[in-house]
Parts: sequence; C-alpha cells; structure tokens
Amino acid sequence: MSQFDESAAHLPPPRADEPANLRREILEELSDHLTCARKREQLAGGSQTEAAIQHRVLDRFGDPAAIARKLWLDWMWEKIMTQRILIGVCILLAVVTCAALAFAWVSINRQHELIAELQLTSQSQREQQQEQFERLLADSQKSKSPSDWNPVELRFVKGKEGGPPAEGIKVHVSIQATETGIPDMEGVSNAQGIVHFDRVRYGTYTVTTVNAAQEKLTTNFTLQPGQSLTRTIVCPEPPTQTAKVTARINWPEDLAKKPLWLSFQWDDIDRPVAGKKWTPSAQLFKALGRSEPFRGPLPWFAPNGDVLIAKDSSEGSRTIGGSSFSGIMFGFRTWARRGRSNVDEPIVLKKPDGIDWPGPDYVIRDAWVLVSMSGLTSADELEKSTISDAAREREDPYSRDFFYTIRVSPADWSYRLEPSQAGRPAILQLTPTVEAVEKVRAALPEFETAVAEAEASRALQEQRRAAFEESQRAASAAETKTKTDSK
Amino acid sequence: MLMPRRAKYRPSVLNPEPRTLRMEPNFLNGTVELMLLAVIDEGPSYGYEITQSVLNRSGGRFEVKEGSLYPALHRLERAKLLESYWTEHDGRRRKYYRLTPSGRKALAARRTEWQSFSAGLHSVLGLELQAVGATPCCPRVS
Repeated sequence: MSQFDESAAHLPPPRADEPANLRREILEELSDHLTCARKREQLAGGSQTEAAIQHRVLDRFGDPAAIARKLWLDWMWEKIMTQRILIGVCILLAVVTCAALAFAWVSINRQHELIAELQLTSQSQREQQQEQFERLLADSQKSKSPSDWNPVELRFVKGKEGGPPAEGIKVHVSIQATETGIPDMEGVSNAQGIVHFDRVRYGTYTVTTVNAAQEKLTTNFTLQPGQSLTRTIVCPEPPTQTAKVTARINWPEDLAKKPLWLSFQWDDIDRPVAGKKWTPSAQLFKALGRSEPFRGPLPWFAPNGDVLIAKDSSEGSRTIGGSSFSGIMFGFRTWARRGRSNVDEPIVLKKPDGIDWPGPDYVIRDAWVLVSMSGLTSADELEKSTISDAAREREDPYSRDFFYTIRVSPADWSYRLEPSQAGRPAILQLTPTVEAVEKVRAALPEFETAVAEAEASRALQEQRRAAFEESQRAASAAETKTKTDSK
Repeated sequence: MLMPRRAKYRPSVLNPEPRTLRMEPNFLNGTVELMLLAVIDEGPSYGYEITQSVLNRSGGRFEVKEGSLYPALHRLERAKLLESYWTEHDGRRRKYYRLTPSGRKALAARRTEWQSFSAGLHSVLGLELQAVGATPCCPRVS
C-alpha cells in the first residue's frame, strides 16, 4: 500500500455533501509535500537507504493520515456541525411531536372514557325518565282526564264526620290567583250531599259554602297537577232556625212605668262545627235593616215590646229647662229642611211584625237606654207624634220627639230568647243588671225635672198667649159694640 | 495577556510615534499565519516551498511543522485571504497558493500590529534591535 492509499484509508467515510475533489486534493497536496521532502533528503543524505530517507521524512512530517484527517475535518467541520444541529433539532422536534401525540392520544383516550361514562349515565337517566314517564302516563290513563284538569268532589255531611249527607248546600269555588281566566264555579249538593266538578285546573281555590240558614263557611283546597281531589265538609246540624221575635224589657217596677226604650248594637259569633267556624251569615243584619255589621240604623225596642227600625233619626243635643241633654230626635231633619222642596219628606219608621231572629249566637257590642221626652211607649205613638210634630214644626221648631240617651255598658245587659208558643212570636227577654238600673235611676231625675219645667213653662206661655188673645178678642168685641151703640 | 501600559511606554527609533494597541489574546498564535501571508506575498508558492522559505528567511530559526502548515493554509484559504490553483510538475499535481486582495490588506494590517507589538516588547525588555543572523539552533514554530 502506498502512502497515498494509506492516508486515504484513514479518512472518514465519504459524505454526500463533501466537495468531489476534497479528499483527492488533500492527499495530492500532502503527497507532493512528502515527495519534495524525500527528494531533498536524497540530495542531502546521499548514500542513505530509501527506508532511512522515508523514516526521516516521516519523522519530520508527522503522521500524514492524521494531518489529512485533520484537514478533511477542518473543511467539513461547518457542514458536519450544521448537519448535527439539524439532526438534533429534528430529533428534538420528533421527540416533541411524539410527546404531543402521546399527550393527545392519552387525552383522546380519556375523553373517550368520559364520553362512554357519560353515555352510560345518560342511558341510565333516560331509562329512569322513561320509567317515570310511563308511570305518569299509566296514572294519567287510569284517571282518564288531562293532567292539568282533574275532577274535584266536595262531600257535605251533617253534624260530624261520617254523618248523613247534607243536601242543598250552595258552593262557590274561585281560584286564588288573579288573571288566570278561570271562571268561578258554583254548585248545589245533591241528595247524596255531593257537588262534583268534572274538570278543575291545578291551583289553590277558595270554597265558600252556604247552608239553607245562610250560615257560611270559607275554606280552601290546593289541587296538584295530575291528581283528583275529594274533600268532605261537615255542615252545622241542626241548621240555625229563624224565628219571629218580639222583645220584653224586664225593668224593675219603678222603671217599668217610665217611657224607657232600648237600642243595641249586635255582632255575630262564629259557630264551631268539626273544627271549622261557620259564620251565622248576614241574615240578622238584614233583619235589622243593615247590610253589614256596625253600620246603618239600629233596632229599637219599645217599652211595649215593639221592635222598630228608625232610619231617619239624628243625634244631637237639646237645651231643656236650662240644661243641655244629648240624645236622638226624629223631627230634626224635617225642621232643618224647612223651606226646601223636600220639606214634606216623610220620616221612615219601619215597624216589622217582629224580626227574623236567626238564633242566639250574637253578642251585644253597645247599648243605650232612650228616654222619650213625650212619654211615648209604642211604635205607633212615636210615629203619630213624629208626624204631628213634623207638621207643627212649620210654626214651631220645638218638637217633642226627643229621646234622652243614657249610655250603658253592654255587659250590663243579658238576653234570652223564649221559643214561640201557640203561633205567637218568640220573645227576646232583655234584662238589665243592677248596675244598669242604678245608672238609669241616677240619670232620670235631672231629665224629668227639666222636662217638667219646660212643660210648665210651655203651659204658662200657652196660658198667657190664650189670655192675651182672649183680651184682644174682648177688646175688639168691646170696640165693635161701642161703635154699634154710637150709631 | 500582554497589555502595553501607556505610562511606561518609551518612544523608540522604530516607532517614533507609538500608539497604544489592544492586543488580541491569540495574537502570538497568529504569527504562523502572518509568516505564511508574508511568504506568499513574494509570489505564488506551494506547501513545501513555503516551509523552506520560512526556514531560510528566519535564518534557520523557524521551521513550520507540516501539522501546523497545512491547517493554517487551508484556514486562510477558507477565509478568502488566499486562493489556490493546481499545476502539473514532474508528472504530479501541485497546489499553489497566492494572496487575494483581502489577503494583502490583512497582511498589511497584521504587519503594522506586529511592528507595534515588537517595538513595545523590545522597549519593555530593554533590548536593542540587532541584525538577524543565522543561528545553529532552529526553534520550531507550532
């Protein structure tokens, strides 16, 4: 092997990117150098052997293969490094790509697991919903009515739970929400005590129940969607009976002869039936001429037992015998309207033949004792006196239909209803307590004295007027006689 | 690192108006390249002839080893300071090197730097410039 071939053998393997003549030129250049050096050694050494010359040349030159390798590497260094960097970058990119792919693969697997899990859950929920839906559908088919509109049945029984059916009970059902467009419903219980509404929309309803005696119960029920409702309502038994009543005022003997009238303000008391409170209805107030409690005229009870509804009475005060007394007068309005077009408007005194008294479930809220100034003791007398006084007011505003008012405590009175007997009206026994009697006894003398003084004064004035008129007539007659005589 | 100090710098005949140079750390390492550029500046030459020229021109003081010669020549060629061409001689190819214009400029600049360096070094060492003569010993420059 020549030096040239030996050096070429130690060079790195050929590369695709190395210049075509690089190896050859390196080796040729080094070979030329060695040839020159050998020739010089031959010229200088003379008799030396070829081996010694070669040894000396190589000793000075060094390792040709190593130098050739170094030169080749110097030339290829930049390309080798560029390639290595490129390979490194490619490897790095490949690693990053692989990592990203691996991450994506893991994520996709995880997502697939989650999706599978969700699908399982969703499937389970769907099955549950399907079961629920089928159950609801079955229930709905059983009820044979739309889920939003369901039947409601109200059962009315008498007296207690499980009692006999109550017939003729009026029912009014209205939804509690506003602007629903759902009309109110009404019905009357049949012989079985049932009121049936075929289709009622879900919601909360108010039920107003009125029995034959006009007693009223207000309750409510809530109807759920898809559910029917059956409610039992216990009605009062026996229902409240109404009775024609007259009144009897049980004064002590000394006061019984006095023209003492009574007036009360009444209020109703709820009637408990099976835990519910039934209102005795407005019948009492209608009977008393009132549409609702605490308003309108009040009933008067005359000393003779008449019951009177006085609609045109007026409260006020009047000075009698130098003292002022508060009270009620009937002719006042007529007198006050004198000179007007309605001056002859009649005073309305309602005198029913007894009143329809729907049971004893009432309480006295307020009470007055009314003392008639004119000593009137019946509704007829009051009516005549008032009319006559009204006619007389055109000449004399002073009227005698004044009632002095003595207010007593409601607790000072008790009442008891005696049932009717032999077709006569029932009697409402009104009895004052001792305190009420004493209060009246204490208040009466002053009023009676004042009235007596006023009457005496009035009588005196009448006498004087009569005497004056008589004297005038006498004088006139005397003058006429004188003239006649002179003629 | 050789760093000339302005306060102790003494003017000499070689450098009447000395200027301060920042010495490169591998300044001495570049002396082989400087010598090669200077030799090739005389005219196109090839590797073996260049070693002989350096040896002769240095009075036998410097002998450039082949292990340093060819890497330096190839480095200068890749830096475009030298260019090469091939000729036929006694039946074999021979590679010649010659300076490029950039090589000439670089040679001039490096000569100036070396003059400044050597003047400064002489001043520091307190040496006089002597005529260069042949010496029996031949230190190798690697």
